[in-house]
Amino acid sequence: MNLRRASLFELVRGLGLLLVLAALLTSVRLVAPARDVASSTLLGLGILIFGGYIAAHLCENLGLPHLTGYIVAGLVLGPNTLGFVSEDTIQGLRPTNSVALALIALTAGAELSFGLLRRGARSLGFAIGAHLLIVLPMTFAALLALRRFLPFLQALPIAGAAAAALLWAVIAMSRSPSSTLGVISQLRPAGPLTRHVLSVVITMDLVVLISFSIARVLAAMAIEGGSANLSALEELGTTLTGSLACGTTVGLVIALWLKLVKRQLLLFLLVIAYAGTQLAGYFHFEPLLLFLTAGFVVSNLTGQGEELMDLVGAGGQIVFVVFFALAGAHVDLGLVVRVWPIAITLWLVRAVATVIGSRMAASLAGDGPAVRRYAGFSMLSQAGTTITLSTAVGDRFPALAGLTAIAVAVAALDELTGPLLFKWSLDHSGETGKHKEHAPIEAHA
Amino acid sequence: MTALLPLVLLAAMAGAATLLLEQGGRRGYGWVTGSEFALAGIFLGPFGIDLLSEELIGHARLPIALGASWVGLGLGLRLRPNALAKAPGRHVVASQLEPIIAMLVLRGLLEAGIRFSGLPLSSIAAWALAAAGGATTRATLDWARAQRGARGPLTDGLRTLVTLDDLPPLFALAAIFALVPPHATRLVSAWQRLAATAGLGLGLAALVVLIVGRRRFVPQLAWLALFGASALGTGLAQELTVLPLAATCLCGAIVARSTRHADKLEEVTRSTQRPVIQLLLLLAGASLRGGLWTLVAAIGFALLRFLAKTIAGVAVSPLVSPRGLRVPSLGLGMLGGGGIIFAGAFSAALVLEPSIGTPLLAGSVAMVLLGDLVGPKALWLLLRGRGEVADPSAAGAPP
Repeated sequence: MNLRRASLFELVRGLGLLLVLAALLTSVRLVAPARDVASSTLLGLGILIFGGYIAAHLCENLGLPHLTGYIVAGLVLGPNTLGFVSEDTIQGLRPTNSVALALIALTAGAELSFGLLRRGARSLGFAIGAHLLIVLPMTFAALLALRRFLPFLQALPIAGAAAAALLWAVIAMSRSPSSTLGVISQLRPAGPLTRHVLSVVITMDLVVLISFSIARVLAAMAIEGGSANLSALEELGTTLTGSLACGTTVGLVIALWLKLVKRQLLLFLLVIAYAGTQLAGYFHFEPLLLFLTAGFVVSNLTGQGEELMDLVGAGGQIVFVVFFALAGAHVDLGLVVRVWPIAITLWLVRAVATVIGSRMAASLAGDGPAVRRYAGFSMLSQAGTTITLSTAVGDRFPALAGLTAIAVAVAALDELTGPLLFKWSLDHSGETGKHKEHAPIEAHA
Repeated sequence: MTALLPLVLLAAMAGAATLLLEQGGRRGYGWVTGSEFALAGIFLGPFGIDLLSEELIGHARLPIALGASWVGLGLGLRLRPNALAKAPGRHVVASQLEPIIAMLVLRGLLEAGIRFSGLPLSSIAAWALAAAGGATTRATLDWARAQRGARGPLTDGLRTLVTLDDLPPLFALAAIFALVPPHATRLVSAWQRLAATAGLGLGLAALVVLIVGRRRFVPQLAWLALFGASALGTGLAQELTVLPLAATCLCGAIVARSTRHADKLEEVTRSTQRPVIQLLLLLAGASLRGGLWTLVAAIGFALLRFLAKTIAGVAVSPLVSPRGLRVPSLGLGMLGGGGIIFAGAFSAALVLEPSIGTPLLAGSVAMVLLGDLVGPKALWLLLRGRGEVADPSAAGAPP
């Protein structure tokens, strides 16, 4: 009875918040139309923060993860639906988004430890192998099989179509460390499934980065003709080594600050995140890898990982709300509707391939039942990296603009369903404390 | 790479240097309000080497507005009923009377100065300057208590005074902003804009209270609610053509009275207030426009402000002085320029028309700079005269 009353109270609180926010926005819109880009940017930021919180609060009452709430809020408030947050505002908030991503990556890096990687090395190896040997071929074959429904692929010779399919397959392997971390930060799960998913998702980012560079070289040869131009691989080498080196430096600077100054920590991290992202952009480093490395260095070489995670955790809610609400605002539902049969088919194939691959990898590695049953469902989210790679394909190969649209549409579907499935998996594996009947699964591992 | 990066790096380096130079969190080196940042801004801006160009400052409008709102929110949260209840009533009355008297005297002095010098300063600009000069920084007294061990009834009286004396100037600044909005809206009269400020503050407070709630305090939610209120409040206030700092201050004041977590919420804003004000000072120094005469006039204004504060100190000394002891030189303890009002004046100056904005900005910067130069020494002399500095021999020279 008390529980029901508490839920009712929470629901009323959420609706109250929604009412106040709507009243504020409506009354201001009646009095003054948006004029100033700067004010629109701040207004958009405020709307996304409160809108995201309200949606997450209502989602929590429905048993859904906060992340879904943030994404739905962005989707509803964004330029493609209600338009409270315009395209200009989203552009204005790009630096905020970059800072949020940097902080998420820092936390993800700090979550990884040598011990965790050593203990899970066997499982990790099999999981990466499964991605390369099962997910990659299955998604590759799926796009080629759909060739006759896709005019842009029909226009290409078979080698070109195969190259496009390879690019798609690499993009399909990408996962979302930020989504994974977002769900983890809300539910605070603990157990083998959480550890496994976190390490695979983060490592896959590196694997995808390398694979994408190779696929891009092959695609250039197949689509544009000529011999192999290895400059892309050279670029990859610079990106990887530069990101790792810069990340190590950033990690050491953070550790020094934590040790020597110990004050204004959050502001310091914000500055580091902003400056690091800008420098990464300037030198063409990979910001995600850079900050993952920094977090890893702080956590493993200086022993100040806990402090760093507490620190980011203080502002964590804002970071996740802003990042995922903006991601939601980017989702173009119109695009998904336009390419829905293809997008849903590819989304299904990717999901099935991931589940099958993860199950086989877990069996071969001798993982416990929690990982065996639920790892595949836990890794379906896609977000920033996927969209960045998809856009890069369209920019580099204008003939593949259609592929970009489809990949973005699939990512949108994964963005909406991935966190839901991850939460469901964590709940059923017993790692969130819910569904206690599954507790033995944790014990097995 | 965006244009803001050099600015962020510069601010970060300045902040790091300050933190390293500070002694255990008390300002052992540098000035109490951090006005060395304003000097650095002047050096780096168009008056100096022009590294912080006009374009760059234009890019920084968004963080400036947000920073000022954040500072305003902190001021509002400071008005907690439990904190106010500890202060004697006469001190609270003095804290509101003193800035009003200072503003009126300063307005009169400025009027006389304008007539004497023939400076083309409008009446509304003179009021804006008077409002900016009305408040006192709390940093000077904090320095005296932390660095010089100041203790005693006069110190306590001054503490209440400098904690609450931002309110009348803030209200005056909000009223001036309502009188001369930067762009037209459907809110045609100043009263409508003041009512909109109140409505906005109330709405933001409702959002914060509903999120923070009355249950267990969750720091993440506190950050989210306060930061969200600052961003949303600034955005909405700019569209309504009302002063964002006034709306967020009102929001903070309502929140402080509506939740039992007010102390912890204030701690969230207090922990970041100093770097925010320092960044604003840096940008304000770099934003100074006008010729040498503007600077001279601004210094003249800061000196007139000292006179006005001294007169206001004499007027309220019966209310603040320890019983049976008159302290007519009370105004000496209130010469430091208010950092919070400075933040409001700076953010307003950037959007108001130049005939008001330029003198307001120059005057605010000069007020903080000279206040930092003279304020600590004057306060130290006042407290030493009353025997409230713990160890005068150890105190040595003030900064």
